[in-house]
Amino acid sequence: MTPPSALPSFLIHYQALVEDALDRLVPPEDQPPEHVHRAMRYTLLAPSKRVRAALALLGADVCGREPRAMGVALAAEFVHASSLILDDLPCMDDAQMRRGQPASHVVFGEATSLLASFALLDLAYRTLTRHYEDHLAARLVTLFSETVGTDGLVGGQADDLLAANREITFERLERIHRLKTGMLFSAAATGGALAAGGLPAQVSALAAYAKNLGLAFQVVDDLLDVEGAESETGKSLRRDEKKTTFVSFSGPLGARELAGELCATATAALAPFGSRADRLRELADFVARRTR
Amino acid sequence: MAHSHPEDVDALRAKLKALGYLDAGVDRFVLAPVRAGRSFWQIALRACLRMGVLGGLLLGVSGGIAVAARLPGLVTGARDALVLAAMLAVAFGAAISLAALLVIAAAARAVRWLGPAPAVSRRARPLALTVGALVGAACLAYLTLWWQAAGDASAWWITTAALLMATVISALLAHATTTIAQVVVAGTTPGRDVTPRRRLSLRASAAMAGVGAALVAGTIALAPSTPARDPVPPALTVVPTGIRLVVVAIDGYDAELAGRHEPGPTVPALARTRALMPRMSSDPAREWTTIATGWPAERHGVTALEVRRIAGLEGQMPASTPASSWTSAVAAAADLLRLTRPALNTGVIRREKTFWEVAAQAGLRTVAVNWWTSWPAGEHDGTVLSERAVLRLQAGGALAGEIAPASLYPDLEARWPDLSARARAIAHGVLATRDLPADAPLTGDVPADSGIPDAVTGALLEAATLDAQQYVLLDALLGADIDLATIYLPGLDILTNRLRHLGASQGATSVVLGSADAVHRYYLWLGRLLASLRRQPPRGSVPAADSRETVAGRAHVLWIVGHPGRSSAQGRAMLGTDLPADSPAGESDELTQATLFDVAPTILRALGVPLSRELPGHPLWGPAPTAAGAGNGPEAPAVATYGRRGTTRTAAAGPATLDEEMRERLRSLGYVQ
Repeated sequence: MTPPSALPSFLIHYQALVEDALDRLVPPEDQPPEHVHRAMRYTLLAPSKRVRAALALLGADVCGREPRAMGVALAAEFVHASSLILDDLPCMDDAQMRRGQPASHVVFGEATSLLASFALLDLAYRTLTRHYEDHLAARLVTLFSETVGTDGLVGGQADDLLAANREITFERLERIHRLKTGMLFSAAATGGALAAGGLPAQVSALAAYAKNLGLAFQVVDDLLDVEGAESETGKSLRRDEKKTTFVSFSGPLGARELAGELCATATAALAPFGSRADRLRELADFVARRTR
Repeated sequence: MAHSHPEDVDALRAKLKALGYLDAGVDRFVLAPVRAGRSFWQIALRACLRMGVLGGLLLGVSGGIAVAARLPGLVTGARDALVLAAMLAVAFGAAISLAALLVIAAAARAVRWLGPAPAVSRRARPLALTVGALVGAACLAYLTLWWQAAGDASAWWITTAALLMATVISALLAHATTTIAQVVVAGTTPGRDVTPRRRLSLRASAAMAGVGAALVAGTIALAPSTPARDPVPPALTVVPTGIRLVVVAIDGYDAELAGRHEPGPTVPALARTRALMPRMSSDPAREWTTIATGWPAERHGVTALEVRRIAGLEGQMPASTPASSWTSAVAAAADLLRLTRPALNTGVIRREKTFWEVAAQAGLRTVAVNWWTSWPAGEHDGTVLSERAVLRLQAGGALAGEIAPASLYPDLEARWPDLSARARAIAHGVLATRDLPADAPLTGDVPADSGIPDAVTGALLEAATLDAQQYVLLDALLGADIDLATIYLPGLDILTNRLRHLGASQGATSVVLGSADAVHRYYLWLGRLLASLRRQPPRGSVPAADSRETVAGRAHVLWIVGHPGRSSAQGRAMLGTDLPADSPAGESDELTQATLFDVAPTILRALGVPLSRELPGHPLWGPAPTAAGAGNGPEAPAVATYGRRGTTRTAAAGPATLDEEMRERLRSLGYVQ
């Protein structure tokens, strides 16, 4: 029997595919400016589940054209790595560990980390424009731009900073999670479907899946911050003690229950795809049970 | 950070739903089987089963409530209600699962015929919506038609509420079917995904609700404008007529045959006026209850002698009628699954009041003996010795509705040995010579050899004993203070059938001739029996007989005689009376346009009881004005309704009800198989 925290086999397969492509796209460490490239590769290629990339590939897969989504998958990973570097900065969350290793700013300093973050963001857009035809690229760039901007990651991080050491409402907490996590989940899944030529209704179904899954992912993240082991999660824990999280509202048991329901809802949204969406279902199951 | 106002999970769940999460509802339940490794047909089967569970739960409960309301007597308590709901849930669940699976399978097959891929992509979604709409519309149509067909109309708001409920359930099932169909259609057309469009589904549901509302409005508009059910009966103010009635009903009486027995004290000879009433079937419980209530069987509810009792339920379900296809379907299904067993019809299922119950409600003193479906007798029905009274007196033990009021039982039980001996003596009078006068003693000398074969004599005495037992019970309760006494005598019908079978099995000339002699003697014996009832000392009396005969006491007689045929069209009854008549047809005339529904109004009018405007029949004769009170002519008082019989009357459970004994008795008499 597969342990609850074990990565699904398809996710391991996607990890290898995506990391190989990322490695080829990011400039080598010996290419100037070396320290920036090293910082980019340090965070980007660190051990990761590559959930966002998998979402993009699986979103395209259920629409019948998985290979078309690699550009979206890579862009999602670039954006995610960029946001992680920024989030960990001392002026932000001041996290010391990320992906099982010291945070970027701890190793390379804040200035280099900032540059690496921007460079990764740039790579995301460049990948999209180079992978797809103009009209599709324009559409995907717009999608990712909205995901990163003040209605996305930036807005979520801003809210998150303001919420530190303060009580916030449940609705505010949901907004933070939606902007910081859900938007990118949704962009990856729907971007993959768009790249594969998915119908609007299919894109809409995947958006519903990703929305519920994204929140479930974040709820579990909050749980792991309370209950998890740093060696397993690979990042600094108990840092959320100063923050209001899902666990603050519902307690660990309630949070676990809600995460399960969100994953079940995400799964139900896949009904029209039939068994072709089985791997997306497996992914939702993994998110609900994950310990890292 | 621990939140200062932690919330429970339900509150957070509600907030998440408001924010657009956890929004799968019914779909999530129905589509839960959609997992890896299952074929689309496995998914469809499991999803349809879940849909059946959903529909079964909804329709089991709501259908149980509706059935209990429409079939009074079926549900006698909470346990019955639970069992009925469970049975209906299983039946509806299975039907819904099967119907959904069949329709979805047809859709999946149809999608392959739609042509090339682009055509499928365009048409698959409308196909799924069509499938859902079909299931929803079929469900709604079935529930609507059933509500219309299952009995009389209810108050408009009850009908509206019931049909709205049906609409909601149908819309829900339609939505679930659409969702499943989308999955299956997508699965059977690789590469052509059909994503559910929640907006469209909601539109479909809204459309279904609109159609349902239109059906509801149409149903209400087209519904017959019958009065609301169970109206509060008004107080009945009797206009005294000075008449006492003894109504004697004799089963199996052929008035034409009686004419050949002249000279003799035959029942028709006792009447001044007679009315012919065509159409009388051979089911005694159905026809005699029609006579007693003045309503057709579809209204009073006693459609046959036998009913079905559903396993696990104490209540009874009426035999199916053409107007109740739903009942027929349930009965057939229950038979197939051996969930039912035959039972005798009783007063539990009767929904209309008999003429003696109405008279008792009006404050008259009444005695009713041995009428069909008079068990279980209520404390407010007057004095009633039901069709099970003799069995109770013979068996002893605690009373279970056989006699009312219950205070009579101890006295009758103590007197029963003497009453029984007298009944036997009276019964032997049937063997007396044929030329006795009408006023001859009932227990007179009997010749040692009547000349009738032993087999025929046995049947003759058995039938006469049955009637004599009822006669002595009525005689024991009759007195000058009784306004209405009525008795049902089955002996002649039983004798006729016995002799028919005897003749068929033996065929000897002596038996055939002896049978004719026996029937002749029985007619004359009945004449003496009824004449003796007319000699009672009351203020007045009226006898009524059905295709047999009735006798009244000293004052007046009203009788109904009839001849049950193999079919209702072949049988006929006749009503006669020695009442002073003010009939437009004139005294001694024979009316030919009467119906069985006219008997009860005729009796009630003779007693001065206001007639219900609901009754389909009319009084055939009215008593002439007397010094005792005003006449009851065309301006006689009337009321809107007598009210319907209380639905809370239930049969006591267990062996104390003499169910098996009664059934065995009727089986031995040839009434049931």
